[in-house]
Amino acid sequence: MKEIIVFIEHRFSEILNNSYDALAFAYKWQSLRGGEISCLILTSEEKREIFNNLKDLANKIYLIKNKLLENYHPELYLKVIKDFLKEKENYLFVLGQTSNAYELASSLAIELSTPVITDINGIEKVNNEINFIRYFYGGKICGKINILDFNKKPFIVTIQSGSFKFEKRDIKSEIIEREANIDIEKNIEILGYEKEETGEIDITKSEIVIGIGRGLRDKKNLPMVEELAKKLKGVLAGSRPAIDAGWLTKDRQVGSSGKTIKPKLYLALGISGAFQHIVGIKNSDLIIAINKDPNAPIFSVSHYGIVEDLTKVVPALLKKL
Amino acid sequence: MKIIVCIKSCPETAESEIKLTSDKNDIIRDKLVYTINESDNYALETALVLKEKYGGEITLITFGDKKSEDILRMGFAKGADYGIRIEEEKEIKDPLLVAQILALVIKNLNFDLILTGITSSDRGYGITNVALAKYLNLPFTTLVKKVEKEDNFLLIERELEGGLIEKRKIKLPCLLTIQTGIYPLRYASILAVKRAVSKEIKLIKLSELNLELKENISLKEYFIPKSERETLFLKGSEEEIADNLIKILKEKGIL
Repeated sequence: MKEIIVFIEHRFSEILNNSYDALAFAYKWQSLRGGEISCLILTSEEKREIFNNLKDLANKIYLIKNKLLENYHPELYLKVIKDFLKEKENYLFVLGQTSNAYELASSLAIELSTPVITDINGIEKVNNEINFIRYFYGGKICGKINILDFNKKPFIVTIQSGSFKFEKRDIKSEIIEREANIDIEKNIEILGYEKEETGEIDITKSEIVIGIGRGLRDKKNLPMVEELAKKLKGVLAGSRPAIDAGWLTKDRQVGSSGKTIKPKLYLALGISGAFQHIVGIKNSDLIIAINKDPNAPIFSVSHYGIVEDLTKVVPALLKKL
Repeated sequence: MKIIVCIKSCPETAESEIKLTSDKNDIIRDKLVYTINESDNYALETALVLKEKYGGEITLITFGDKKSEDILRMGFAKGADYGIRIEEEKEIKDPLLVAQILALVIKNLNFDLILTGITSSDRGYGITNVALAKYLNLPFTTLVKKVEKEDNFLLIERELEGGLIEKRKIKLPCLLTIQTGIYPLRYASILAVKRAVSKEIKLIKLSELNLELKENISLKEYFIPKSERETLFLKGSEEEIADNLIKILKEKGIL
């Protein structure tokens, strides 16, 4: 049976929620295929207490310590994790899908010659096969992926945020601590961190949020949605393409790389609903979406849907408000 | 600076309806419009900006069929200098294998920097780029939002979760994956597009690379995801839809 090793990512002394997604996947895998669960944390002696949050959640907790591992560094983390996994024979290494997981998962796969699948949001066992499920084409379709010889060989997966439900366990955890020897030539230096500038309006505080996306098509359509926001006493927010196009500032971005909102009304205009966006809005009280593609993923989380071009519906709505 | 940009031709699917083929192993492609993968377009834009600032030349590389030459020509029209297409004689679905193919071609080229998108809009693994860096033994950084050159280094801003930025200094040569929105995208002039038509594209056949095409992951089938909610669709004319919407907003106490 495989050892299921979950990478625990932390930032400024807090464990990232994505690591609990990874743990939730690990429990699901265990229920299908068995195996013991381990957590792997890279940290410093000063920050070692972080593991307290994981007690009772895994069979083993590996703490690998060095002052240089206090914060993520791509080359150091890669080296230490690689050395750790090299000692193992058959494992499944699980990471939550984060910015850093983008760097770690595939580079570990190359260093260790293992297969890798990113952004998994489901898993099923059919006979003796395991299907890994993930989105394709920006969330419009799902695909079932198989890994060759998955049973015999180690492999690496990353887990899409919020796709497996995390439930607390009560396992007696064994803590294994060791110091890491780090002696490599670095090509990358981390200079520091910065918060993106925020504007005057905090979209997370608004009860009514009007979201715009690619379907707005042109900046010239912006005044009509601005007027709608005003009439509904709400604020404008947007999906990534609306920010990239320069229609709205970065502090209005909703989704995994922006903000998570829970307004009373989320009105999604011309947003197809890539999973990175859906993660940020799906807990809104009421979701209404307007999109001309009937299969747009945004409808799968919407209470009400309108299959139409937003530039036709919004003017009609404005006339009546 | 000699810059290589890896680009891919993808069907535009964000704004169009997707249907599956009857064997569920692909999407129906004949009505879809192919264009440069969204984040690759920003990688290209970054290369153009860096070339303007620091001088140098840009080589575009794509792994794809004859049709993908369109995106190379679009790149020429915007200011790229050279183009290479690796003929996709067989569709490769394992991104690690695609990275190996690209690495075999790129290792023979002279370069300071490789730029790629962060992920593709079709399969969207976000693996090929980092894997390519590893196969070429290059330092790399993902999700880049800002880049400046300083001697033999690049100063970089990288996107983390929740609006946090990580600042890095990275040694050249290296590979960066570029986040969308880094710079506004330029358009090519009609004249430049016309000139690009006759520009030479170097063709490399997959079979010339003598690579064992072993894929470790395989697609079993695609399916349309189930809706998480019972969505009630409002139908009728725009007038009727607007009336209905207002009624719902009033019922829910929003208006």
